Amino acid sequence: MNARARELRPRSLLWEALRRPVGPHHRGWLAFGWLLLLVLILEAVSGCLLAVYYRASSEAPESLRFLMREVDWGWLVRGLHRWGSQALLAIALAAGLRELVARGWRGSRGVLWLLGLLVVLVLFASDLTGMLLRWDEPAYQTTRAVLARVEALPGVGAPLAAVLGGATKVAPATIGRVYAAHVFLLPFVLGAAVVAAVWYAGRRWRSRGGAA
Amino acid sequence: VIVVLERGASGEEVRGILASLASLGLEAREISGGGRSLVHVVRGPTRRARKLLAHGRVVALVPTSGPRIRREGRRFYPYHFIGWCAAALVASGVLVLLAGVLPPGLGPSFDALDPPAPAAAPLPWYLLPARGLSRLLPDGLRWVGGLAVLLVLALLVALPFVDRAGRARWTGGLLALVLLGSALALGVIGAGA
Repeated sequence: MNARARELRPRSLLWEALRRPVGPHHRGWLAFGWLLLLVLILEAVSGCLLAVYYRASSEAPESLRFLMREVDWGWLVRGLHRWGSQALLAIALAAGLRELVARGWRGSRGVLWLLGLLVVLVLFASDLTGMLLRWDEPAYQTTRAVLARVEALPGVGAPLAAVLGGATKVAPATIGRVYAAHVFLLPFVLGAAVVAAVWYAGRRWRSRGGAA
Repeated sequence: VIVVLERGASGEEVRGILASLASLGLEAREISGGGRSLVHVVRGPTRRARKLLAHGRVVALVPTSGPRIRREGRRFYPYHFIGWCAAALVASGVLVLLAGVLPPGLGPSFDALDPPAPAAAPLPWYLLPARGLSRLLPDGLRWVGGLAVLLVLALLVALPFVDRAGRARWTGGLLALVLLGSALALGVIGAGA
């Protein structure tokens, strides 16, 4: 392994981080990142547990009722997943606002700014698709309203709404698309963005001699 | 303050930095660490050293003194890790409490093949500003709400490419204030009956 590859090894990066003092202005950023990572892990674990009982079809409300009433601690898993998503959005928005005030897009931080934007967008999309997965009447009305707004966009609206909804209006195919996006596509994009952001921030931190 | 220079900075460039610091009334000396040139400002009002950030070869200023460091000392990652773990424990407790006290609800079922008549949709809170903007516009221009969200997004994406000034400016705070204020105002309108 050459020296360049060795210095980018995660263990090497972690060891170096432990040996360096934390700058007085970095604590807030690190606390945001740490909380975000923790709640993301909580969401992933609770989401996997929910997927054991959830059925992405017209039986979705019944499967959720069964989970809430019959399964031990099912109410807790669903509640944690729901409130965890709200906490994620709140933390991500607070971090974004802080970056905005500090003009965190300047210089080499621009890459982190764009990755952060991608993370926030994916979190919003995950929350929206998660809400629609209840597949009850309020979720139907929300899906219809969101698709109507997308469809009203000039030019790209109609085809985009058809791709998102699986049809020109809310149909049984919609829940399959929403489920696939919520469980496969969005977590993959989110994970890739978070890994890329952590890797880039670590590399940048190291190249600047431990300064943010 | 330690002034961190780019890798490969020449001795002449380091001397130039030392001269700049001297002209700012700061006493400094060259040190080395991590295979790069560093300049340690040992005496003088270190706040003035911020001007060096405009220098092309200066990548960062690392504070080594100041009221907070004098009060708290130099703390390392493991120290903060304990604090973050405590914060995570409290956050987990709050989430469990919310899950127990305010469990997510479930509305009546519906048949997608025979859907119910369109009714007022309970939008999530982050879509309320777009609905608020739509309400302010005439019927034919409702799509402007969605377009405005896309435009704000495009502006945020474009910021790293259009705002490259190195000096701290008030634009970030103003932008945050305008975005937050308009989102809150439109959200209140969107949440209204």
